[in-house]
Amino acid sequence: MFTDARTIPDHTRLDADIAVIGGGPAGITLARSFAGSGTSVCVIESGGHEADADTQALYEGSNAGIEYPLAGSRLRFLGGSSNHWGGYCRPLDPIDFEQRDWVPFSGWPFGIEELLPYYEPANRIVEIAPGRFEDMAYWQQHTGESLPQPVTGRMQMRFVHFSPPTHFGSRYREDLDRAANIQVLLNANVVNIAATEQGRSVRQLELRTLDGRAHTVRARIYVLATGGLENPRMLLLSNDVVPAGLGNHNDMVGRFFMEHPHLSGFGEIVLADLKRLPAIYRERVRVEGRNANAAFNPSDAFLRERRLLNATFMAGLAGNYHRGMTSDWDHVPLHMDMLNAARPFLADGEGPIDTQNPELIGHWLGLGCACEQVPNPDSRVTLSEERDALGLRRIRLDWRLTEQDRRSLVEHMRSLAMEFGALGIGRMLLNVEDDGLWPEKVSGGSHHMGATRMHDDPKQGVVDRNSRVHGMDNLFVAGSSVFPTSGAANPTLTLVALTLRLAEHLKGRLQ
Amino acid sequence: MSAGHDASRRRFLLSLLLGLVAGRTLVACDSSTESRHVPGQAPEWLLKITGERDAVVRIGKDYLEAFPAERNVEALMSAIESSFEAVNAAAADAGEIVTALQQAVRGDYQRGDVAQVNGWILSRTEARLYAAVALLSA
Ligand SMILES: Cc1cc2nc3c(=O)[nH]c(=O)nc-3n(C[C@H](O)[C@H](O)[C@H](O)COP(=O)(O)OP(=O)(O)OC[C@H]3O[C@@H](n4cnc5c(N)ncnc54)[C@H](O)[C@@H]3O)c2cc1C
Repeated sequence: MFTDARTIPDHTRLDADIAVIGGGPAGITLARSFAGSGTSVCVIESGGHEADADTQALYEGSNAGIEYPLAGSRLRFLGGSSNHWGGYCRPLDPIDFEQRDWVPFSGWPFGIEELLPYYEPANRIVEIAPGRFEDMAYWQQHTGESLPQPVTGRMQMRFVHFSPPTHFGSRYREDLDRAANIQVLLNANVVNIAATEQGRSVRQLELRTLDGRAHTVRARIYVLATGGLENPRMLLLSNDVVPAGLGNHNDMVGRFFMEHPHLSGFGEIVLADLKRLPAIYRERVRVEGRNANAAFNPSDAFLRERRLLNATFMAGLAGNYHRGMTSDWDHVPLHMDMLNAARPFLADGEGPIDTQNPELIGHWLGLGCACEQVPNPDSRVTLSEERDALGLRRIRLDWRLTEQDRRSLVEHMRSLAMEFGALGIGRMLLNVEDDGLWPEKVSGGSHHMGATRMHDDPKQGVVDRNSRVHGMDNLFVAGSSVFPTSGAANPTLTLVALTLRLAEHLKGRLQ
Repeated sequence: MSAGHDASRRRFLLSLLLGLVAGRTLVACDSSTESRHVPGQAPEWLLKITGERDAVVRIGKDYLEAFPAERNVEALMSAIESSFEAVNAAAADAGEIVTALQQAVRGDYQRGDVAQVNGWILSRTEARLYAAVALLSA
């Protein structure tokens, strides 16, 4: 059932077994896990069914570190940022969960095996099931192409699946509407998570609408699911009992913010003969009703040997070259020279590469990456002195990257070049100077991770292995802000899997 | 393989390489290089293993700029030779040499024996082939 918080009497108090703050992929997944059960769930969502400029403006903030689009990298209405996500899905790799001595602050409280039972249901929720993320034979059989295996020992092939993409708000609207035990309160902003006197429990949630109404929600269990940037902000804002903010006794809330740093145009690959690069290595291919694209991922052995961070690279066909072609882009002559010079290494025979198209000399691929960054306590979310329309301090982000992150990324780019060369497929032009500096054009992937990290030790994390806020008995956090490390896979599939795991834990608690 | 055989094959390779630039003024940077006086016919293997000459020369020059110590035809040829010998020590005719060089280049990438040339990550052997042609075309 949906209720518009602007249409109920001022100072309404709602009661439920579970109160979920935020109706994005995490909040909706949690609520749906209880659909039809005897547990009553109240989802409090800041927006409505559609985007609204005033509500969206609540997401604005300031940057202290790398320039970051705080309002542009998320959406504040039912479905959250899934209303404009790209749908890239891949689980984390087993190594991402490990404590690696070369990655400071690495290590999850559990290994990937703990999440495995939840990935397949998560695949269904984001509509990509069954997951075939590593199954080379499957893709080979279904694409009818022979798929070359990496040969340098540096890389391995993985397969990214594309969600349609599932817009959680519209896709699951009917489920939420139909479930008698779920109430979704729209246009309701949680402005304070009010704690009991000792700050050990949540007493109630305080809500405001933008037109000035105030309501409260009381529950046995509270789940904060407002997204990777807003989760730490909400804890910091809820400081009427604990001045540093809820769960922040050890000054951990907001620290360790991680993204997947991306350098646009960091490199290009030229190749002469498309036959040497199967379609799924350069474009989305549709198989059995879903799209997938191969990804180049560093091998475990290589990561361990060189003590590197994880990364995922994908290539996409970006253009073709014909003899005599000119362009204003100064890379065109470079690409064409390489294609002309290296032709004997990149294509068979001596005649035209394509007899139907004799002027064709080759193609170029654009590259994308999602790279892991080291968990860094100085990369953090805090509150600014500016206030939003609800009178709350705005978010201030200080996103930082380290030399270790940069070196790792450059090393992987070189590996990619070597792999394409060793397979006789192409040559790679690297546009990143190896000068010890992060290029200015570094950006993120709208992946907000780490700022309420999971750790068994309250001194090293905000939530425990069950996503419960340390020191509080009834407050839980859902979403990628609990990831202790970011891995190199887009986060939504994993955060949905983690949310399913949390739902199961809560079911146990409520019994 | 005998030393005499080695030397004659080196001369053979050089003459083939020089054949590529026959008809041009040859000014190798290292004036001690006897090879600059040995123009031959454009050899099949070299035409096969490097592509369009102007493009090859431009990339070769970039390599020499990045690695000026390698500005020596004899040294480059000797390095190229050891690369393909490592694949096929008996390679003697054009076809065998081309095949061995193709494998050697892939092997360089596989082992990580690469050089960065004006942004390109190139197999060392491949870059040297371009450089050798560039030197002889100057
Ligand atoms: C352009 C773009 C492309 C992306 N592409 C991908 C991709 O390809 N693959 C991938 O894995 N991920 C992608 N992402 C990230 C993905 O969208 C997020 O990981 C995912 O949406 C996070 O889900 P969530 O439920 O934790 O948070 P959100 O989606 O942020 O949802 C949080 C919800 O909480 C509500 N809320 C916030 N504050 C309050 C409050 N105070 N009171 C009440 N409600 C509140 C918001 O309105 C929102 O509905 C992309 C993101 C963007 C922006």
